[in-house]
Amino acid sequence: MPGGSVHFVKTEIYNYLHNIDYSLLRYCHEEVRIYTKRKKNLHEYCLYMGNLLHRMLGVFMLIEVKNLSKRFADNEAVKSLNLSFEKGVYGLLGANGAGKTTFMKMLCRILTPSSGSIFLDNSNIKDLGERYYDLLGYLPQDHCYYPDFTAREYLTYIALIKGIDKKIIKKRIQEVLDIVSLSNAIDKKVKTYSGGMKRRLGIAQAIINNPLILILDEPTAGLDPKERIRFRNLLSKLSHDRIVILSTHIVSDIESIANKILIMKEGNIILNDCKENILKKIDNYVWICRISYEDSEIMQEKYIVSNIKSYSDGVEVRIITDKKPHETAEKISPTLEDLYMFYFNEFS
Amino acid sequence: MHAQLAEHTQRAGFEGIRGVSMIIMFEIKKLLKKRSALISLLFLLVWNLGSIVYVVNSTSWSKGGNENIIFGIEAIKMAKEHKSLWNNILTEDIINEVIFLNHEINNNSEYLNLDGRLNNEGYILTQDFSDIRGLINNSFCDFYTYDYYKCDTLTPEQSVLFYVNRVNAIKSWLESPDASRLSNIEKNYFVESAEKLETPFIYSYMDGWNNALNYCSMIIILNVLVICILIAPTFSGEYQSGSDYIVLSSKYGRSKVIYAKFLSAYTIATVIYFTSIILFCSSIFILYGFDGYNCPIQANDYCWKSFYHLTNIEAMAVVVFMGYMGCILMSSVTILISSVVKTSFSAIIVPFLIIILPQMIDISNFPVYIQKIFTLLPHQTTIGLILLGYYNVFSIGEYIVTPIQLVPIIYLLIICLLIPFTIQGFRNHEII
Repeated sequence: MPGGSVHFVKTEIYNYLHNIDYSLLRYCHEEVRIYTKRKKNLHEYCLYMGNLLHRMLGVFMLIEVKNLSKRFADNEAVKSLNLSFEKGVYGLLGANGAGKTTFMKMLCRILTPSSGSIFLDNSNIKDLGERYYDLLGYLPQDHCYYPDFTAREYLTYIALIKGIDKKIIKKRIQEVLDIVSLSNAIDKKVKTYSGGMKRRLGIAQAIINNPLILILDEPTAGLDPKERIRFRNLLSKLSHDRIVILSTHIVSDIESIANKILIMKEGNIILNDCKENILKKIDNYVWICRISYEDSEIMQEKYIVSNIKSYSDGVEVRIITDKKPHETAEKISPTLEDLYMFYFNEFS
Repeated sequence: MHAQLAEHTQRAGFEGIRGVSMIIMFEIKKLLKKRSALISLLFLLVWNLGSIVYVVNSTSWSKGGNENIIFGIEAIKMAKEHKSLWNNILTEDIINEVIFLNHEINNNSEYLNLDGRLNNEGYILTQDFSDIRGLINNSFCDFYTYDYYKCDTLTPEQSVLFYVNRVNAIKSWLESPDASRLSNIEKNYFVESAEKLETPFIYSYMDGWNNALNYCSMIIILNVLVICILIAPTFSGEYQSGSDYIVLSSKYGRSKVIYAKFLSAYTIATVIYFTSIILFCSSIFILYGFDGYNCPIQANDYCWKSFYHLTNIEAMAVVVFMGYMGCILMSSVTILISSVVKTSFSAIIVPFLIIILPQMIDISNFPVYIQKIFTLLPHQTTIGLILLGYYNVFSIGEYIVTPIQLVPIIYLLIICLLIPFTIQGFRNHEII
């Protein structure tokens, strides 16, 4: 059941009512009738219609970032970014201190840019006010809970401050907890949760208002492999018809789900493309060879080594370099992890 | 469709108010669910109960024979039974009678020790009219002195001076160097107040009111401090828990949430303050009785010289109200600091210093205007009955304004000034 503000929906419906094709309106109306098989509730009708019209009438979600910079006292964390985001999943990849979190905070308007602007459908997000937050869901990097609240209390509070109607809060909480598999722990205090559970609770609060813009900052930090796989699957489900911007320095988080990958280094976006095109940059750079342990040590000093696997008769090293590093080296297809190592020259 | 939308907008407005009230409930929960909050409330409760026990156990009554002095509830009953015998209008005839009786007891060798002071049997006889005896001592002593044995030196004929002495003492003091800090307008005001005070006083057994007025300052000051501790995390708690990320990126994070935080903090302050005061005062009045509610405060030993024309019940209302104003002001200061600092500790420390530090400073050598400012500081609102005994007023042109008139106005103005800064402090909070 989509969420959203009544005021926003009312305004949108009012604006569009006089301009749309009547047959399209009938189509929307029919879809709503099928969707809610009980007597139409005007409130729910408005909520659903708002989002539906928004999508149906070609109002595309487009975020544009223009010359966005953020300077702190002794450091320019984000340097003049120019980007655009349409519907889809964007993976923002970068080392610690690259500027990812700073950029995301500016997207969420909890940090003021030093210069530049962010636009949503040609409107500056500063001017949109509450309407922008209505469309936003944000999962910050650090845990942000009230330890003595239960999950139910926490999500009820978040739902209230996100403007979700009181009538549908209970139902919505149950829905999101089912999505993140926390229904069994709904009445337990958050301080009793494991790290993975807290993270899932964070995702639940981020999606509770059914946002059209979902910003996730290092969502899998501290999660074990099973939790990370569960998160990836969850994100695949959630990413339909939204802008999802996901920052991480864990390559595997975005490898399989991101439509576009942005590599961020020292405040700049150095690459911004789909995975296949990005990997073409280092197409002929990745080599694999089996050598002795002693030789591998020399290789690590001379080249970027993205992986070392030990065998009984030696080690297999994965090297990133433009020239053949060893006579036994064979060229192989690059992965995102190789790309990360190439640009950041450190383990992910 | 348009009519339905219009109707829906109206409903949405009403539901908006209900939505804020739900947010307020959660904000209150956030503040009170902390362990530190529970400990503070428990401490306040223990302090309250301890104060009641202390007051009750401090009440003593001398009995003859083996029991000598009794304390507590039995003493309260005895005091009420015996002192109520003197419930009356305090005319000069009554003063005459008290002085006469006192004289008789003090001149009966049966009731004297070898040093010429009253023995226990003699003291027992004077207990019944001890309140009136205290007033007589006040009347016949100088403005700033008190001699417990003054009454023993008086003759019944001097009773006619009982009320006149009060006015004369005030006038003498106003003409002395001690009152040089006061302007002529202020002096005239005090003289006029003294001359216009309605006499004779109504006297009644009023130990309940005496104790409530004298000891409620213990409750008020702790309430203020505990409330500051409770509401310190109003905003800083969000910064500490990291929830500011979520709150400030939510739809109502910079609007309804802020209003809800204010309302929740003031609600907590109000409920805790009045619950505490009601608990303390009702316990006192249940044990001591409500008698004496309509007696003037000048019939209370401490307030003999007070220039306020108030009854006990009015004085209680003033003291409680002033304490509440101090509480709300300190709450506002605490919330402001909470909105700009990262930890609750700073939001607690500053109010503590504002309340505690001025009480340690001797301002008698400070310039007059500094002394006047000090009388408006929040710690003055926590001192209870003592405030009504101070000779402090403010002259604004030809008008005289008392602290109990001025403080609420000034504090409300300050609070109105603090609120926008607090709102901006949170709204402009940047998460670096």
